[in-house]
Amino acid sequence: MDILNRLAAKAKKGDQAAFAQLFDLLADPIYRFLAFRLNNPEDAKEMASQVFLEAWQGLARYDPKRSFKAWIFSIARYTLIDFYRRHRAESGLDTVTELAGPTDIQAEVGTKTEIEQVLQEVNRLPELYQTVLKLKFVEELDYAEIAELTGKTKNSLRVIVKRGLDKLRDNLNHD
Amino acid sequence: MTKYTDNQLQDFIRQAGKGFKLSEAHRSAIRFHILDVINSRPGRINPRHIIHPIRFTMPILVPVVLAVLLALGGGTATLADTAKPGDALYPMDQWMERIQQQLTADPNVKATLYARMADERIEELAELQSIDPSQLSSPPTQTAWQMHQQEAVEHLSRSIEQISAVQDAFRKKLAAATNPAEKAAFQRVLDALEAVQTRRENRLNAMPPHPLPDLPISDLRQQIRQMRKEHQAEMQEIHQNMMQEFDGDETSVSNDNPTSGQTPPASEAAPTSSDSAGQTALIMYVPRDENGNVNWNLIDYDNDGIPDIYQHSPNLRPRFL
Repeated sequence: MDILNRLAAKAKKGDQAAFAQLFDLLADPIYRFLAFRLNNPEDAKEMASQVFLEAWQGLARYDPKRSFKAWIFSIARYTLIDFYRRHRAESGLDTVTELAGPTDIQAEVGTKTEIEQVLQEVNRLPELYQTVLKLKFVEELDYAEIAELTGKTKNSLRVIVKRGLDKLRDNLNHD
Repeated sequence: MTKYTDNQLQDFIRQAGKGFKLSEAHRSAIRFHILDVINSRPGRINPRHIIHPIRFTMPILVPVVLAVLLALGGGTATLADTAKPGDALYPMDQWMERIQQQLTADPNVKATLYARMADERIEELAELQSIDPSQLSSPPTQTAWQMHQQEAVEHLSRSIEQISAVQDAFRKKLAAATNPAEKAAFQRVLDALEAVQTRRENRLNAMPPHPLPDLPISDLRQQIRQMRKEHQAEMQEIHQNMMQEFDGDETSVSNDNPTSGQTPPASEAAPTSSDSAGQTALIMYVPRDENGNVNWNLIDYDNDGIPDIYQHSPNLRPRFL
């Protein structure tokens, strides 16, 4: 059992300090996952807070034999889906997402334009493709963990990654 | 037209993801908020903790009271939370607070809990103070009212001491902290607690003269004033020590020296460009009055409830102004 699962098992029993440690370890990945998709860092922060609070409330349902990381990312994923469902009509964000945090990205990498394009194109892919690509390449979850949170088999995920990259390449070449 | 390879695309996605970073200040603010909510609405309490004999002085009563709570419905706990001395549910309110204190081991959570409880204590006293004694029908009622006020004052006094004790603990942590992130986190808790004390002092000062000469509200004012004074003096000393420590380590030349006795105004808090490159430092703008004394009432709070005295900037050395 890894450190996250051990802490989650303690938090499940009501240990707030263990939950605080979980937050310390996972705040950045969860924020990154949300901010990647949202066009507003404030929304991402608020949603990160919401994800952790929902995780605390839902810990009774968490099975310590499963990956806690996969479990909390599934909460983040459904929180995002719910957010877009509610805001679809007013923002149209299900089709286009503007680049969030461009200054950070510019500072981080030199190839600004390509990164921006990739970010935009990733966010135009179907939701499942986006989720899988981000979890696989940004958060570096393994296929078993992604399978847990998406309900897909490992083989299906490999196909999704392949098709996602192909689609991304096509879109980049058409722009 | 560029034909990207799979590896290139994966690398782009990876780099795009790395661009999103949560600043230390925002991370601390979110952490504080989450722990505050969790603590004020625990939601899930481990039954094994509740009946732990060492944690509670009355373990046999716990399941009984829980059963009563369940029988009365969840709304009872909310009602009890707003009860004041003399109300039927007030003992339950006090009992629930004791349980929360026992369950809370994390000092950050404890600080939040005490801050919330402190606000409740002042509310209770204010409510009792708002009652006109001439409207009370019988001498026994008036006596009971006096007793309840006395009780509220004692609770408030205890609460002031609790906050002060937690401030002591966090001051020690701040003094021992070794990196800017830790310092920022401890400083934030201390500021939140200091804001509670400020709020409470203001409320106490705003209370009208009381008809009961033996009700020691002026003592409370004195107590809180004294504790805040000591706290501010100790904080100033800690900041000066931190600056001296930093100046000892710092190889680059500094244009100002906060320990020299001259306090620059906040308007001079603009960072210098001669600082060592690549460092991320915490700038703390401590509000001061025209005499150079720290004045916490000048802290500007925005919507997130975090005092606006922090600013993270790259390439700067820490300054405590």
